Amino acid sequence: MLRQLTKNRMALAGIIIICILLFLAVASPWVAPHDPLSQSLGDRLAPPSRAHPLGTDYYGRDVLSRIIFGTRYSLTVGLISIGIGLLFGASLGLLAGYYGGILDRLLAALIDVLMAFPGMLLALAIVGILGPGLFNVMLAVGIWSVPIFARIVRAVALSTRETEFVLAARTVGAGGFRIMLHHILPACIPALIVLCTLRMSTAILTAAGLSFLGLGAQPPTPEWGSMLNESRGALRQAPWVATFTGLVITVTVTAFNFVGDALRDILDPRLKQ
Amino acid sequence: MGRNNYVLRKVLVGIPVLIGVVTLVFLILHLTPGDPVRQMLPPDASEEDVMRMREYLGLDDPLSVQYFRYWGRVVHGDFGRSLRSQRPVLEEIRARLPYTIELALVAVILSNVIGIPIGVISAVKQDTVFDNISRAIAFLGVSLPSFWLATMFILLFALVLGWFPPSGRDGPLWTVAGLRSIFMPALTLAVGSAAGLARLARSSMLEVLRQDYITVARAKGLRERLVYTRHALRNALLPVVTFMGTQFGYLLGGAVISETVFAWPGMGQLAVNAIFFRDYPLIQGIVFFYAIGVMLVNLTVDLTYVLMDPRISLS
Repeated sequence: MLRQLTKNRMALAGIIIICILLFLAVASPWVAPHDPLSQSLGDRLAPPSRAHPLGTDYYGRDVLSRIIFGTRYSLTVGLISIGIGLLFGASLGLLAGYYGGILDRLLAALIDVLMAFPGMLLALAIVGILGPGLFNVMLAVGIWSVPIFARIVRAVALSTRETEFVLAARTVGAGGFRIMLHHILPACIPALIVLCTLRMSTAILTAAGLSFLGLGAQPPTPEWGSMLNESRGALRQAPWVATFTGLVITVTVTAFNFVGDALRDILDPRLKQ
Repeated sequence: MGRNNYVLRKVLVGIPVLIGVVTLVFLILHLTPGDPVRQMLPPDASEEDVMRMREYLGLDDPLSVQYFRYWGRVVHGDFGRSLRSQRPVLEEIRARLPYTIELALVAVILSNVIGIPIGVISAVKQDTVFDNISRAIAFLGVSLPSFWLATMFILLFALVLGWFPPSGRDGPLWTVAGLRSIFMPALTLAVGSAAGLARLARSSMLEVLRQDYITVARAKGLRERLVYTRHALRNALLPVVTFMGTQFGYLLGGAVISETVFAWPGMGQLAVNAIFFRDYPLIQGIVFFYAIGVMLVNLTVDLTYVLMDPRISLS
């Protein structure tokens, strides 16, 4: 699979970018040239230079260092929110798809209701309930992912529960829990890998968007969306802050989309619409 | 008869979803972690203020009583008053909704005018330079964060070139100032869905062009242009209509960002402010209207489908 993936040039580029981002997130205190929070009012809005390769912002903070530390927030938000979606969505989907009946009908109805809200609006509504803040944004994006994961797993579970190997397992006396975990869940894994990768870009984008609106990470946190929001005050004097920050978000999102699209073509062509 | 049944079924399917939406909206106040009343009031509010607020919101009654009372109010269009402005929620929304609809409509038109022709031409000229460039742009368009795009538009078109005002709504659509002020917010909103439309229109057109009836049309000597317009487009655009429907919901979501960046006086701006100030009655009203709006658009799309594809009424 990895060989197939690296043959696709766009996917390879995506993987390299994701690896770089992961490295930057882990190593940011050593890689970043400056403290992302230290203000230097003498260096306010300085254009890119040798000391500050991407310039400085309104408070004289180094933009490159802030972007490097920002990888931590974006990747964490992505991973945690997808973890929530995966854990709850997959469990619900498994239970509903395998047992069917009332549980299934209730879940299908809940999925319908949640799907009536477009993603950004649903995330916004959840932040509206929980209140602003980066943690709540993670929860919001996670909750929004739950029906999406549930729907996919439910579909696979529905089609797998009638297969002969599940029947065989049941004949041997395997319990529902064991069948779900050992026989149905593995069948869902390809679809789940694809979904996780593609959702990663959506999660990063939505979280940055909410922070940009001021509903997520709060200043002075070096979170990309919040940085972009702050940069608007001095857009004319220091266009580099917004330009570079936005560019990094775009590259990150594109990288996950590249890898996700390639994975989908390899693992689960049915997902392609 | 079949057609009427289809329409009726689509309308009926919406009812449980509507009930679910109202229930969720009702639960907003009860799902809030901590005491929402405390969060709505200033930190120095006295115990008496809290009591009065609880009573005002009817939070002291049993949940079932509150739930049915909420239904009664929703049916009468009463969503309470905004805590911040003290105006009825419905009035607040009514003042903002037209601007969001206006923005979304212009964005839908823009994204169709940009996206569909690019996708169709891409398919007709498959594997040419035009095709490759437009596919690359379409891919990028899907990944571009709209809030960054908006910021860059302001930088380029407002601050550097001075072609468009950086923010605000300068009047109705039929005036030059109004058109200039809606251009950037609408374009920001349109780019993402235009990119999606272009990709979909291209793949759908390619699919149709492989069909036998296209070969027949060509074989009987029909001019290429007529093959495309009369035979291919109508079928190729079917999935595009569904996509436009789902896009309308996404446009409403995207409008929140576009409206905030460009200070467009619509629902999105209202929503962000309501969340900021923990204005729960207003949040409830806004969520309700968004959900209803999305449902109505989905229904319209389903019905348009029947008009475009007579086969549906048979199934």
